[in-house]
Amino acid sequence: MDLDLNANEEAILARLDAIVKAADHSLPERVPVSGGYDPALMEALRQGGLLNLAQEGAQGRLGAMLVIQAVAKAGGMVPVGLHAMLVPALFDTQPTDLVAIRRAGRNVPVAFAPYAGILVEVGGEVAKAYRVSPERARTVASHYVARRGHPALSQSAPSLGIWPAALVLRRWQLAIAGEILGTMSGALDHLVSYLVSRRQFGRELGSFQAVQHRLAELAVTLEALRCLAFEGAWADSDELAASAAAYAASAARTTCLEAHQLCGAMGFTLESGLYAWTLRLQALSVEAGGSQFHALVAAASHWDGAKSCLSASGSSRKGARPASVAADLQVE
Amino acid sequence: MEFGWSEEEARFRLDVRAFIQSELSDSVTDLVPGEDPYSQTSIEFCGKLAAKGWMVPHWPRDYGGNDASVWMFAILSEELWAAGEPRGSQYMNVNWIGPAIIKAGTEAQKNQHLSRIASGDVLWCQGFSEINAGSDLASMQAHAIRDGDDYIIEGVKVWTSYASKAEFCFLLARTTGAADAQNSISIFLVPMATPGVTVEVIPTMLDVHQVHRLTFDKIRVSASCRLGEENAGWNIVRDALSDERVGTPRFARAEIVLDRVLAQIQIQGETLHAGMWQQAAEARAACNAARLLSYKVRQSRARGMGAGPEAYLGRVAIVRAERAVAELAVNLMQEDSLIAGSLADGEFRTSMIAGLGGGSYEMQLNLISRLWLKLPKGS
Repeated sequence: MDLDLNANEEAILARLDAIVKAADHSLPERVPVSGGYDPALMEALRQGGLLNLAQEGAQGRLGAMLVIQAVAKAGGMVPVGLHAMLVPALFDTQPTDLVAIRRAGRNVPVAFAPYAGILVEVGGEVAKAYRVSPERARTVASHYVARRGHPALSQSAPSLGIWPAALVLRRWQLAIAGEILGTMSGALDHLVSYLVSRRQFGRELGSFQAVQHRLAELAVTLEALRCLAFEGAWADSDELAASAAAYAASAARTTCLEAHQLCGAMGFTLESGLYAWTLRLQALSVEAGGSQFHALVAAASHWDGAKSCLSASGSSRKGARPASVAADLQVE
Repeated sequence: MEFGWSEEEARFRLDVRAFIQSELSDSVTDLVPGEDPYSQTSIEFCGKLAAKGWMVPHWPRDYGGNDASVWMFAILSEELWAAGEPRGSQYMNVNWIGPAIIKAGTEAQKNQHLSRIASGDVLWCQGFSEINAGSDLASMQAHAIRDGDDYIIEGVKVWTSYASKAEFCFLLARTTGAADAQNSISIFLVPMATPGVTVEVIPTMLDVHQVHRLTFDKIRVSASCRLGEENAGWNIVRDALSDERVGTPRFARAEIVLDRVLAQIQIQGETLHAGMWQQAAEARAACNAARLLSYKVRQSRARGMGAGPEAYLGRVAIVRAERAVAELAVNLMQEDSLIAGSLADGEFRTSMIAGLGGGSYEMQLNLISRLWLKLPKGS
C-alpha cells in the first residue's frame, strides 16, 4: 500500500503538463458550449505515448488514470477516458480514428459521435466494435460541451473485434470516473478562486461559514473520488470500477448544482468559464446509464442477491429496451 | 502508487482474524462501551493481545513496541473495530495517549505509563469537553494553579467515555488566564483515585455507549503529573488528536453491519428492490472511500509529516460512511429498526455519535476550509 505518487507517475504528470499548457487557449474557444473536439490535443497525447499506458498492467492503469484526470481537469475537449483506459484493452495500437461507445440497444446520443470512426457497443455478454462514418452521424443539439450524436451504424458492418462485455464496461466506467475526477477538480479550483475574490457584505464570499462548509463537503467528496478512481484503476475489478463510477456520477451532479448555486448569476456567463466544467460534469453524470446503473452493477458484483435486479432492470447491461425504442435505432 | 497488500500484510490480517475468532466471545458486541462488563472484557482481551505482541506493535521497541509498519497497525485496528473494538478505551491508549507521552513525557512518565499501556492492563479516559466548551475546546474553564511542587485542579468535565473504570485521566486544564486561550492550557496525567475526583454517569438516550461527568474538586496532584511544558498542552493535544481523527476505523465495523443487515433481510425472505441495492453499493463505496482516505493520513504520519488537514477529510469521510450504512439499515429494517438492540438500532445510534466523538463534523469542515482549501477566516 502506497498512496503517494512514485517517480514514474510524477514524470507522467510533467509530460502531461507541457501538453496541456500548449493546448491552453481561451475557454470559450477551447470548450464551446454547443460542443467541440480538439484534434491537436488528441494527437499530442497520442504522439506523447500517453494513451497506451493502460497496456502495462496495474501500474499502467494508474498512469492512464493520471492522464485522464489531468486532461479533464484542464478542460481538454477529447475522449481521453476511452482512449487511455478502454482502447488499450481492445487494440494493440491506438487507432487513428476516434472511438465512441454506447450500450447496445440504447438509442441515446453518444459523446464525440460526430467525430468518431469506430463505435464500440457493449451488450449483455460481449462487446463489439464497428467502423462508422463520422460524417453520417446524426448530430443532436446539445449544450453539454462535448458534441453528441447518433452514430450511423450499418447493419452489415463487419465487427472489428469481440471482447467480454464486463471488460469493456468496467474500463468505460473507469474512464467516466477519471474524467469526472479531473473535471470536478477543475470546477472546485475555479469555484474557490472565484469565491475568495468575490466580495459581498464587505467581505469575501468564501469567508462565510455557510459557503465554507459546502466547499469543504465538495473537497471531501473530491478526495474520496480520487481514492476510489485510482484504486479502481489499479484493481480493474468489476465491482471497484462500477463503484468508482457510481460515486463519481453522483458527485458530478452534486458539484454541478452546488458550483452554480455558489457562483450566483456570474456562474452562468461564458466569461466566468465555470460552464466548461459543470456542463461536462452533468453530461458525464448520465453517461453509460448514470449513477444508479453503476451502483447496481457494483452491488451485483458484490452481493449475489443483487444479480437478479441487475438482469431484470430496464437499465441492465443487456440493454433491454421496449421494441418501439429498439426500432428507433440508428441502423441503415 | 500501490493499492495491494504484501504477502506478509495479507497473512497478518488472516492471523488477526483467527486470533479474534478464538479469543473473543461473540457476546462482546452486546456489551455497552463505558459500562463495567465492557471494561472487564477490554482488560482480559488486551492482556491476550499484548501477549501476542499486538497491543502496540507500531510503537518503537524502546517503549514496548515492535517497530511494525503503519500498515500492520492499520490492519490490526480495522480487524478489531470490525469485531466490535474489544480493546474498549484502550484503543485511545495505543492511538494517541501513549504516543503523546512518548513525544512529550518525562522519563519518569514514560516509565510509569508506557509499559502498562503496552501490556494492556490500564484504562484511561480523557478530560476534554466542558458544559460550555465542546467544539470550542479552547474556552475551557477547568484550571490548575501551581502550589509549590503541586497543582490544585478544579473543574468539571462532561460527556467523558470510559471514566467509570479508568485509572488515569488525560486532563486538559487552564494554567494561566484566558487572554491567549490556546496557549494557556496544560495537560495533566491524573490518577482517578486522587481524593476529590468524582465520576457520575450522565443519563443519555445512547444505550450503545455510556458517558460521564468528572468533577475535580480542588484536587492536589504533583507537578510531575504535568505532560510537557506548562501552557504547551494545546499543541501536544492537537498533534495527538490528528492520530485520533482516523484512529477509529468505524468504516470497518460499518461494512460488517452492512453485510449483516442485507443477509438478515434476505434470510427473512424479503426481496430487495433495485433502489435498495443501489443504496447498499453507495454505502459500501462510502466505507471504502473512508478507508482509503484514512490510509492517506496514516501514510503521511508515518513519514514524519505533522498534523495535516488530510486528517479532517478522513474524519468527515468516516462519519459519512457510518451514516450511509445507518440510513440503509433503517430503510431496510423499517419498524424493526426501533427494536432495542437490533442491528439498525445500534447502527443508527452509533452513527449519531460518529459525528461528534473525536471532534464535531462541523469543526472538521471548518478546518478543511481553512487548512485544505485556504479559505479566508470569517470575521
